[in-house]
Amino acid sequence: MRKLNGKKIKLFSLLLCVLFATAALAGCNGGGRTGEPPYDVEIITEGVSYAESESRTPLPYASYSPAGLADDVLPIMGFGGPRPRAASEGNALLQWNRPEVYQAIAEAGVNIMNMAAMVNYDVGNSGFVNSIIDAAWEAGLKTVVQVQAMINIESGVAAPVSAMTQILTELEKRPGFGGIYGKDEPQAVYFETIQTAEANWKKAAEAVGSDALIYWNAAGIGAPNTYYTGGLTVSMTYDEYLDYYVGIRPKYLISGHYPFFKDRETNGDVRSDYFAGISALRAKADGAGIPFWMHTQVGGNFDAVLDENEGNRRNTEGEFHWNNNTLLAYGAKGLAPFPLVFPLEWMTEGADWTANGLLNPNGTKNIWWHHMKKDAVQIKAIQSVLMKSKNVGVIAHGDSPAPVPERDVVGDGWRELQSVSGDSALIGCFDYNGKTAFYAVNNSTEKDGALIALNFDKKYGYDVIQRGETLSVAATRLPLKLNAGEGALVVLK
Amino acid sequence: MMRIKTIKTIWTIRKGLIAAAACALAVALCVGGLPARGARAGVGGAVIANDAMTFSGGEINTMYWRYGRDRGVGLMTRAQDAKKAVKFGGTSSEKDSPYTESNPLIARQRATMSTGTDLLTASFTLRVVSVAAGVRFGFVFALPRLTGDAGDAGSYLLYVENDGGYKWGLCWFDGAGSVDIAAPSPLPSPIKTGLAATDFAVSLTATGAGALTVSLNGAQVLYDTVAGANFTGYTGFAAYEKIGGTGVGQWVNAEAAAPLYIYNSCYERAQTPLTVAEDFDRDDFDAALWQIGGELAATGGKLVFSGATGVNSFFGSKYSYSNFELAFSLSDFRNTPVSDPYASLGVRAATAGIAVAFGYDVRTDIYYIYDDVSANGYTAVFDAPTDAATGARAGATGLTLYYRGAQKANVVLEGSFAAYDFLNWADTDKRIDVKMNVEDGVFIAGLCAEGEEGYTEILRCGLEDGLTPIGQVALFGRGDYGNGTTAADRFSEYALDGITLTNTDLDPDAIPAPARVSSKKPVPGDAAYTDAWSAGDLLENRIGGLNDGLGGENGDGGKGNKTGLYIGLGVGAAALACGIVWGCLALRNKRRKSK
Repeated sequence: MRKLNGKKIKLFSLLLCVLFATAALAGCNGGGRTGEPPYDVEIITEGVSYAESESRTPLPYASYSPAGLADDVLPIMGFGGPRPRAASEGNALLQWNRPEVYQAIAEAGVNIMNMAAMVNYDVGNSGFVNSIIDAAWEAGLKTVVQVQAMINIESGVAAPVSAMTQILTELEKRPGFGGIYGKDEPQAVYFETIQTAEANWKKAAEAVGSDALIYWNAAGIGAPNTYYTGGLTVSMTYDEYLDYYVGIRPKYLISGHYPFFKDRETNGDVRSDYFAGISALRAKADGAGIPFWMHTQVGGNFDAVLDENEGNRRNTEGEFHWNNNTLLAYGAKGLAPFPLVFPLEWMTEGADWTANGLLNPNGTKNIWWHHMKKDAVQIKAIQSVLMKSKNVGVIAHGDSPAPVPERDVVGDGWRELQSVSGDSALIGCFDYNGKTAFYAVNNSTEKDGALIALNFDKKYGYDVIQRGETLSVAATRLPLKLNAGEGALVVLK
Repeated sequence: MMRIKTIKTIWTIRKGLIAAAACALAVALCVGGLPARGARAGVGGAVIANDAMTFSGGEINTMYWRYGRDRGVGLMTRAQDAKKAVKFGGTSSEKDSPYTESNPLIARQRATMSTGTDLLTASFTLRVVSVAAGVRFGFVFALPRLTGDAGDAGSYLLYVENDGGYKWGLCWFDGAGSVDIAAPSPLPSPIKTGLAATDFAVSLTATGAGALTVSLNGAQVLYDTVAGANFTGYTGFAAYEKIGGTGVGQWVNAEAAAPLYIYNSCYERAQTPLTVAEDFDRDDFDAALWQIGGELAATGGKLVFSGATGVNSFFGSKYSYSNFELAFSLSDFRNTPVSDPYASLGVRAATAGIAVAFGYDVRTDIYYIYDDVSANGYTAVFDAPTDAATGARAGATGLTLYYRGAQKANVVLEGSFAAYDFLNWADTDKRIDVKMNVEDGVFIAGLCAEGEEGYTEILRCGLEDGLTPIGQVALFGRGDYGNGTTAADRFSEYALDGITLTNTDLDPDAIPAPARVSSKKPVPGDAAYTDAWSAGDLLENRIGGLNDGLGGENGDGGKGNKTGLYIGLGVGAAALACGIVWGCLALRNKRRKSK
């Protein structure tokens, strides 16, 4: 070994120390890869200063809170509720009309039960349906029922205003009554009758002073074009089909497009037209000045066929949250979990009653109930903002399980928000009473602990609402940590 | 009705009665001049062709028939009587394509014939204007191929020919030519041919044992047995030119008009376990043998129909049966109405109907078993009328057998049967045993009350065409609800127990019963869920670490940040280690040097 003198040793040691310090600092600074400034997040307490965000003229928004819901409550309408039944497949079922069943439904955030009894409601016959309406109301749930004497679209029945008024008057005597089932996924051939039914319904509701809803659920995107016509000689695009729908002048636009499936041939995973479906609905609703709601997928085996290789598959927790939260980011003003309860008609031999539904036919909880309850906590905390906001589009950052249509993307940033960095995110952009709000969603159905930063042009103050907890902070760069499909609302002060 | 005390007796006597009933039915059908559809007892069967298949839709339905439409066969409507008819040549619109050569009209369904009881029946109305000399025209059967023609080896032809006068005959083709079975004979006198031709009814039956029967205008003109005959094959209408014939020009000018039926019944042996039984003693049933739907629960050692309404509550066999014997016990009827604030008129009526259905695919036909004509099974319903308003009993129990929505037979359990009026029993726990038997086209029902030794026959009825339908056997609940202000809701509340189902086919095609599969399905509890989310994800709990300069997060997912940090620290640490080692070595060298 070469011999070193003292000076050389000192010099070399000094160089090594400098190298160590430089390397350590470089590491602390992100390795020089992003060059982003450090965080300046502060909890807002007395003395913490931040810039006021600009106050603009509020953009007009549309929302709809029927059936006695407060105008800042987001409707969550579960489809297919409990039906009194003693047994299935030779097995005695637990009694349905137990208070804890309805309490569980309410606890999952559901505030309206659609087609709860799945049977016709005959006025004057209290029957099964009334027992459900009354029991559900004990838990604060509204119930939408089918009354074929008022509306039976397949049979061409749209009762005149006088008959509707009479029946509605009777129904409104039950405080738990929430609305009327019109038609699920009607094809265009039915819209003439539907238009009459909707018009008569509105007049009857006005006469009675009822704010009950009427349910017309548009078919989802992706069906063959000839399907949408339903017997008309020509085929039509989904967009044209939705034109028929808004032509009846509904108070809200609702559809369903269940994103999680398996296809034997393509081994598909998430439907590639998921956001396209939302986009189509959103655009049409915007054009009509009404809000849109959307059904969400609760589990799989939607035809009760036990085929793990094909059809709607059971969604994971991340997927479940992603479904709900991406809809909220897109400006949905109502969610409709489907099915609410594993449907009796799917209780065929060998069917797994826990395959879908927030609850199984015994009224006990399926796994998605837990996921929905989590989302309900968040929704309850953010609904007052979302229901009174105008969604102007989204920011799509990073990868996405399904393509986000260009027409919905506002850019890399919007208003005070300059950019988004970090993991994949879908950021819903809202005008909230002239101020700005964002609903940031982890746009991954799998990655937990995603780090997403919202980079603003100044240090503003925000209310950050995540998992139902609100935190007021000031920051220029706002870092969020979100699990798969999770969302957080950021409201600028 | 005969009251028979022992099971053995009733079913021994039954055999003779069945045969008698079958014969009576056959005679009745022949005497009545009806199309001889399944005029003998048999099991199973299929309509090969009927009016609906032939004359609907404005043209011969090619789904059911094969023919060359441009060669003198077509559908016409007779101007004089508006009857639809298949026209073989010669109409004004078909002059360009007269029936000049054989152009068979063959039904696409093939008749099967394997046993003596298997039966092919054909009945139709024929009108013959002209048949060219040397040509035979008529009904062909046992045609080996769908694409075949009269004259093919093995086929038979029931024909009309013009041999200086119009005659009928029946021949068989052996491959070399025709062999007479019934030599040409003059048509019976009322039948006219030529321009003033009259319709005449033709019926033919052929059995798997080679028996042939022919009737013209209701008069039997042939009954013969052809040894070794096999009538399996296709059927239809065809013309045949005899060797040396003079069939020139238009061969045939004839019409086959409604009614037209070609029917094939055969003794199909359903493949089932010989006897299956279920006692529900383990509060379950064997799901490999039985299927279930609706509001039924196996509990307390019985299958309880509770609140079952409509037809979607059923318990039935998974196997399809032809002839069968079904025995079961009923009890726990709710024979008085009860108050129910949620029922129509606030009342649940006394138990409504209890039905046994057979000849159906239960799940497919579930909504058709009472009144739909599209299914082909039978429904036997025990029912007692109730007062619409009070829901109380208003009459005795009856048993009615329905076929395609129409009542075929009925008995009311009063008079000598009053003791069996179980839907009016005060003691609703009391058990009644029911036995139903279907064999070779006859339905028999018997009841046995507790304490009795044998069954009493309460109803006996010949089934349609004397044929046993093939299908599953099931018990149904029957009721209705949602009656509003018009009637109390009716539910079907009773318990079923001790069900036994036996294949009673002649020489039954029995298979071993499959391994038992319990129907028990545990009630799922609340799904277990462990929340993996951590409160550490919330900004509030991360904020301290964000601002200390080493928080490790900069919003890019932490990848670059942490990677850089680790690289930096690694390089720095390595450099430091090298420096220390170098320094130590240098110091050592210095010390050595100083020594």
